[in-house]
Amino acid sequence: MRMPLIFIFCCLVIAALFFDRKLAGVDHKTMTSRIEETVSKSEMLPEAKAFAQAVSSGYKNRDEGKSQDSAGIRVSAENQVELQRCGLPFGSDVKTMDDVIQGLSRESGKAEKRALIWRNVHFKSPDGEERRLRVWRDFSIGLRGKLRAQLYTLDEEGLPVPLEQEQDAEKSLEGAKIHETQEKVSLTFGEPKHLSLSIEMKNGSVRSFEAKDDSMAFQCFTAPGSESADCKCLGRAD
Amino acid sequence: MSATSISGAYGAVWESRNQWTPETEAKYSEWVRTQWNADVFTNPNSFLYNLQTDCADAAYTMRATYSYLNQLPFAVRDPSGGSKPISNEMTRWDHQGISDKDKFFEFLKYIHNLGSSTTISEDTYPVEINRNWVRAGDVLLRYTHHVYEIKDVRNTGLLHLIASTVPRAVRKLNENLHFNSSVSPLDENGGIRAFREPKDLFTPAWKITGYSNEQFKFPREDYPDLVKARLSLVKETPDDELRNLYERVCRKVKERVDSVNEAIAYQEKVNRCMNASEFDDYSTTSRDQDLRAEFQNLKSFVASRNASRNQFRNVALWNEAVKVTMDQKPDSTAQMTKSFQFCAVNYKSGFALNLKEVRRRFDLGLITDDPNLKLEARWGDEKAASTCPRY
Repeated sequence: MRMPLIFIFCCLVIAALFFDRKLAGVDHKTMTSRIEETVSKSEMLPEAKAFAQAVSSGYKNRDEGKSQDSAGIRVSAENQVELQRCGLPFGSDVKTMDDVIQGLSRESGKAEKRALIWRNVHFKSPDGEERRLRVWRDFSIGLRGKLRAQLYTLDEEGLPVPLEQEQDAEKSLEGAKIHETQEKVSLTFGEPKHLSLSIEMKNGSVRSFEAKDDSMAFQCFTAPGSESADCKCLGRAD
Repeated sequence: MSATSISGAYGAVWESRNQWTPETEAKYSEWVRTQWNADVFTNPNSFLYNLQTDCADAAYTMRATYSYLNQLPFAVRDPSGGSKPISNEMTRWDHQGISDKDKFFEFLKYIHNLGSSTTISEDTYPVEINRNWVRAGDVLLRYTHHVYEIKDVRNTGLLHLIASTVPRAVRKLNENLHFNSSVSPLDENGGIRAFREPKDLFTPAWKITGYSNEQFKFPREDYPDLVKARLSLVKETPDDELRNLYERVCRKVKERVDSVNEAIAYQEKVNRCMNASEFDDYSTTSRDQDLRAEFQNLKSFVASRNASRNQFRNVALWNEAVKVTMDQKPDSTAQMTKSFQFCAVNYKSGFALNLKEVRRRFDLGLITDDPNLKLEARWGDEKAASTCPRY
């Protein structure tokens, strides 16, 4: 019974610290040291600390390979037209999806509410085994938004196999090297437009998002494995 | 629901020999309307007998089972972030000697482990709110919270909803006629949605036929009524409207009885304070919020129709609804434990509690969601404080 508790506790720390680093303007180095500081101050069980430290160290390792991740999904000419139709940031300064979101966030002020919906961390264990960790918020009856976590290994077809043994989890996470993070977050802004954003990111760069306010609805979607987004202005009240 | 053996090919869970078309979607819809019943997991004659589910499990199982029985493709996204879908093409369970049905059940359990009321949003898309697109077999999603299967769309525009819940268990599904505004979508991730065909799994939603984001423009408070208005072929009579609202309150109280009893049975079994996970599974926090909202809906309806109460032909039901929602006076023990005519709630063996008293106890904060407390405290018969931690 300790396993879920340990996972939830660890992931609470990790998810809270990792969350929204890009939009909050916190660089990876700062984030890594924050994680380490929190882990050292916490009263987590030893297994939990090992878990958090493993992810922290993996996070540091991921920084070394950041350059290839940071390009972001380009905004095509077609996407620019759709952005303009919905009155969203567009033009020569808006080169990537991240630019769109940052422009929108700037125009909309401070988010009133931010929430992590889910996060996936893909990493390799020291013995080279591919592993995945999923953290998500569960509001099922009684859960009130509890962070839950599940660790996976992969089968021969590359599909996830839930790991249930604590020993396996610890072994997987010690010295883990993260090579990919994915997350979905939601942000809600107040006056004047009541903008709400639902954003999917990979390695800190925006891949897909939905934006909606009192006057428009807009979506961009990037399929897995693709490097180009499909965007559409889905309604504009003029 | 019964099934004959389906042949799996080259180790796949089953072979897709057919394709989803408007015709197969219509047949799926009719199958859900006629076959997807509350006892689908509890009837010994059902193909899915004895399967444990929570809410998302049941919704995925509905779509997967029809796909399996009709050799149609089934696929959902990999929630762990892989680019390959989870589909009937998987060969993981291709062991010698395993039956097709066992293979399918292993697949279902796998889907249950991966799926949730979060992931189902990505495996479905929001549809136009009209009778062409809102159909039996669609889902009503309260994103990250709960998912209902749409079993039928009534002529009055009311949705006949059916759903499992947490904790995962073999259970009779809960049935409800329509819903209150707590289920109204906050954003495009929720609402009334149809399953994506496997070919559309990674297609932008707006490119799928039937997609519409119009339902997200409905004001949240009005969403249930606007959906009903869009789907109605005949107008509900005031009596129908009252009966539906009243029955919804009654059903939710009965569901609470089941839920509290499950908690009591579990508590007796473990005989200790519940840990965090157990507490989450057996507390009734969200359920109680939902029930309060249903009482409030009924109260608003009664208040708004009081001036024209002569239009109700079922005077007895009207009077009972007035009593349930408006009467603040405490009853004698004999009165409060006497079931009302239109809703009998037995919260423990041989004991009834009428709806007025349930509402009154909610209003006074006497009813508790704490699963560590005994039955009498859960229903407000007695006040008790738990020494166990809350999570």
